Amino acid sequence: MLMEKLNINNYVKRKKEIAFQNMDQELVLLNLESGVYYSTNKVGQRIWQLCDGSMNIREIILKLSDDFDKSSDDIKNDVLEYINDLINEDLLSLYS
Amino acid sequence: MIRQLKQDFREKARNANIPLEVTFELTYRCNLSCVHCYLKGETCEEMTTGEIFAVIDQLAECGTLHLIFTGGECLLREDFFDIAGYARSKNLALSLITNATLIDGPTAKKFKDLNFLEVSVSIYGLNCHDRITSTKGSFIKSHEAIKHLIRENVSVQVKTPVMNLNFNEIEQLSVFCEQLGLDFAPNPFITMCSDGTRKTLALRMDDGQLSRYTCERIESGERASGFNSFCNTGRSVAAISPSGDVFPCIAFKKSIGSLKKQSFSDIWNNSPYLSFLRSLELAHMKECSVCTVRNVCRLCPAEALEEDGDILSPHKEACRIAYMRHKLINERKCKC
Repeated sequence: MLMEKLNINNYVKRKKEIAFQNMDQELVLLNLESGVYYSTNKVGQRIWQLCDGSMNIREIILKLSDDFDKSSDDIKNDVLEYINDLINEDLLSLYS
Repeated sequence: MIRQLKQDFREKARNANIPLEVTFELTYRCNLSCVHCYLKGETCEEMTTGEIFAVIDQLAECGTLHLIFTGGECLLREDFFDIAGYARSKNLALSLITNATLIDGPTAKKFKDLNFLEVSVSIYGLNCHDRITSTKGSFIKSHEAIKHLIRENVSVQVKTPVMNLNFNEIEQLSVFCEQLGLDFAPNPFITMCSDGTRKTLALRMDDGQLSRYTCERIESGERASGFNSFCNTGRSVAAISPSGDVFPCIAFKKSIGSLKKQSFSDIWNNSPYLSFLRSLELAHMKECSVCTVRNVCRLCPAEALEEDGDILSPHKEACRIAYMRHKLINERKCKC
């Protein structure tokens, strides 16, 4: 999926076919369909935590800007890129 | 920010003593009576559903990612899918080792719905299976179950202990698995009984049988994995018995604490025996660390301790199997 298609008003939710666990400052994810493991850093860990389907991408960006004391504009592209990666790897669902 | 992992997280878990993979025996009860089973009529007071939920909470807190349910036959527990569902709600990956005789169509669907990573089914041979399970009709039931699981697109592995009773059916079983698209995992390691008796060891292949079996496996392209460090027992793996005893791994028979008296983290972080195990390095194994067939040896220190009395000495059966493979490869008796 091309990042341009991401709309910040979309909601994102972790797919149910994923197992995950925090490990020493990072997050390990396992796609139970493909058997592929992934890891992500502390910021990615926080984003994953927020992707429970209750917030849209805009709200997630706002929450992260609070958490990490950064402006929304500064982090927006990184968050979109990360969410795009998660969708491309079939770890996250996107819905409006 | 996101990257695919290979094995480095396992190394990280090992170094940080995170119990990444836990084998959970849910019951010792079984509806079959396999001749090689290391459990010889064990009974115990099994943990209740609520107690198991509490243990799963503790494991998730301690960093467990993968739970492997085994027994006995887990599906004899009426609460099995409640337990599995609870573990999935904690975001754990699940596998099951089963004889599969209790899996019908609707049951197979439950495995799919819970996203089981794998269901391992014990099959001993297309002809000798019922003789080994001492249960007429068990092969047909297990075979039907495999077909139900395939229909539901559940990943199935066929696990096969290789003995003098079935070594001549392994090639046929391998073809059977290939035709069905199943992962085939034959294993020539037959372990002692959990009561410390050695009756099951008489089922091991003799050297001639082992040679023929090993040759077949090498020719089928099977790669033996060796070792270059002390194993992960008590570091990134652990095991739990149906009554709540904790073990460093499924092969260890020494309980390091009871979940009925302590929390998992209390046992995991404070067991003197685990501290001892975690202090062991390959260099402490004077013979194994310099062995020339280490690259094809599946050493198990727990089995060395159990069978030969010393955790740091070679496990003689592992030596026999590794030397056989090494010899066959070197003498080019196989086409490999």
